[in-house]
Amino acid sequence: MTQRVRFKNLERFGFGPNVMKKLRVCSRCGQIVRSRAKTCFDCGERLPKETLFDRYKRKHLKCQNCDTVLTADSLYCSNCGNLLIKGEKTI
Amino acid sequence: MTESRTAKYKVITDDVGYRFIFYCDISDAHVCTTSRIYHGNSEKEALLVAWQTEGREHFNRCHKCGRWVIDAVYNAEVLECVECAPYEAEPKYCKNCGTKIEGYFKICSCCGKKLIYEGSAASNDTKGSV
Repeated sequence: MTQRVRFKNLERFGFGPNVMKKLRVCSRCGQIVRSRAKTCFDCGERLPKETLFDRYKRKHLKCQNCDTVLTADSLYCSNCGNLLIKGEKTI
Repeated sequence: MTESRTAKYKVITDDVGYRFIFYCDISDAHVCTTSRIYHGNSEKEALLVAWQTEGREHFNRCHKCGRWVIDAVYNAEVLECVECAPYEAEPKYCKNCGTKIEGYFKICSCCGKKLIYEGSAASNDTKGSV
């Protein structure tokens, strides 16, 4: 199964990176809002620019070459084979 | 593992009893507010009843860190939150030694390490590490 199909299947059930990309959380009331919205429909607060996916990427090790999110124990990128430079863990 | 019995919550107290608002432990998203008022000898007691009755069904528990999270930030493939286990693509290279992988394998033929993390339960059984 390709990655695209796998993520599509996960999305159907509300899981996966595609779902994270579509959601933002209001920093004031915690309401989950579609990423296209600019203000929270519940409290009117301006929404943060960061989607759940951006937050997820920030927390993990990323390949500097292809931007793939990797597990913390990775020494090489599993997508492009790039040798990872530790210490440049997150942006 | 720091397991909590419920997700993050806020309590609304009045003369009659308690109502609870539950939040996702990772995203801080507001997940549910209990629809009824709960009574008990203490707030803790009322909380546990409210959690079992209305809160629990909206959450997934990470099998590694024990946090309660919503579907969007739960890696259902390994039953852990996305902070413990990020989604991994089908590997083209070994993440440990950088060897190119031709085809679909679970273990690297060069270094013998696991190519994909399969959850903390699975990694306890086999040689590979997280």
